[in-house]
Amino acid sequence: MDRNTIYQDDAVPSITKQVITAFSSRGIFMVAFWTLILMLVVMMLSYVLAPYHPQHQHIDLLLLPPSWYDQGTVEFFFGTDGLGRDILSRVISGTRYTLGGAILTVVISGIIGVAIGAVAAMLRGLRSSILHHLLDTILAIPSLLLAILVIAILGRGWDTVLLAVTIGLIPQFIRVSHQAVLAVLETEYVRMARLDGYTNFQLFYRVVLPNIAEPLIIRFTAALSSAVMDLAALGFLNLGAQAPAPEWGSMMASGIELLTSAPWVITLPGIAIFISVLSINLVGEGLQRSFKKLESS
Amino acid sequence: MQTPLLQVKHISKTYMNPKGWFRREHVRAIKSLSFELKRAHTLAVIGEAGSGKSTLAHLLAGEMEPSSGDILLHGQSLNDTNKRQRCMDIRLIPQMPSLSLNPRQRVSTQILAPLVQHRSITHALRQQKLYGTMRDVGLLEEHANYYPNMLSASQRLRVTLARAMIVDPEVLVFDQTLSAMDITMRAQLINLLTKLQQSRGMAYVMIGHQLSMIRHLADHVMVMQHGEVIEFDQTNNVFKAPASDYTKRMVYAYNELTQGSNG
Repeated sequence: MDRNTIYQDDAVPSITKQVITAFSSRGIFMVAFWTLILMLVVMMLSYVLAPYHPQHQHIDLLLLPPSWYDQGTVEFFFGTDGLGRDILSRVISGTRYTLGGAILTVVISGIIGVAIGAVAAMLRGLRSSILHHLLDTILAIPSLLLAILVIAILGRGWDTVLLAVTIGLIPQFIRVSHQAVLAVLETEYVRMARLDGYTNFQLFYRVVLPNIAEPLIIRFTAALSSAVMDLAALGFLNLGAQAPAPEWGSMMASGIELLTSAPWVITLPGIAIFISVLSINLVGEGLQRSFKKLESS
Repeated sequence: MQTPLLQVKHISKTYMNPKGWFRREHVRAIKSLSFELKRAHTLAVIGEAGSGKSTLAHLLAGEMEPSSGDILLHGQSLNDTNKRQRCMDIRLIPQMPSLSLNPRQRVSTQILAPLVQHRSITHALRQQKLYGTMRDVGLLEEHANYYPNMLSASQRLRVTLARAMIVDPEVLVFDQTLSAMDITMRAQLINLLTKLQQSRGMAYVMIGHQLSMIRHLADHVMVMQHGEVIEFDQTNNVFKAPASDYTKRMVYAYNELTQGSNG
């Protein structure tokens, strides 16, 4: 068997590798990616990294400005709030609430939504219509409004908010996965795979799933940034995490009356929200472009 | 006289298209069709659009069951044998090879798919079989790791051929496969198909309009119109003395074209 060895080519990289290569070739996306990774690390190590307990009140040091002000000290890098709590510790602990809560809600709603959407696409007739169109109407309501609706029924609180945001995100996932699966099922290669003897489960796992990965991954990142926004917004409206909890949105709400005298109390958690949403969106954008590159090659 | 490889006996297919809420429209795509096909022979099926050619391809490949009638392979009815086995004996080559390959799977995985599903054989033997089949259809060994988008159109057709042939089928059904190919590629593939037919003894059912190709490859020609066979004869006879109106027009147009380009 003579192999053509004139060119010492590397092995053909897998689709995943190709996407990663395309993604890492753009600096801005890598910056966003590592920012996101850093935030995740901070989230997981928040107990160790936070210099003080987020609830601990330094009675003698109320409204201490951040360290880059003349009156600030390095011990309280981001300063303190109106109750003398260290803002750096609160922002670090807040990753657990805002970012961690967003990831939790997106993963749960994603699994539920994709499962319902895929089943609806693979079924035919009435059952498919019920699964698909019933939730289609819910899609007309924005996710934040839907979450407020759920809170109105179940009452405020952190657990309720997580549930509300999860429910608010599910319809998007159903819609995206339903359309993607339908589009793939109509293709010629699925027809041939059926003739090759794939069972329904194998068909879904080996043929359909790799081909819907692109819209799903992009939807996941979009949902993640909207979940961060929703959680923070609900916290700000005092519907979500309750007062002492260091959730970024509620931190901003508690600092609102100090806006002129101590702007750092409200801006620092705001910047944290901004950076996390920006980096999530950039990662999503980068993934989208990497998949596009794959199509055109 | 031995039994022919493939016998089709009075098959018919009726589609039920829902029309409105309760009414249903019955469309008879194929009305009582019969033919026989011997080993290493080629049958060409031509006919106008909507004549039931594609339905025939679906029925032969096992995608649908005929409404009535019987398809026999080696004298055994296919209706009662295992459906999976049947899909392995009669293999379909789809109309557009490029669209029939999964863009997210390596070529080797796709060629091996029917084998993995159906036969429990060792890994080494499977690889051997893969490379053997790929060589037979004119692909290189390193193409195995490629993704379909890295291959040319004719290489993709070769991949679909390899995928069909890896389970050693008896009959290949070409559902208008070669109509989208350009002339040089078609010539290459005709040579390839003739060679494969001789070495493996497969029977071909070719559905399509390429009269030049049919003339080269087919032993018999079947002409369909409105789900019925209006002409069935040896290829030479059809080209020399077409019987039906439709065939006359086809052959006349074909002769005009070929002779026009020669002279």
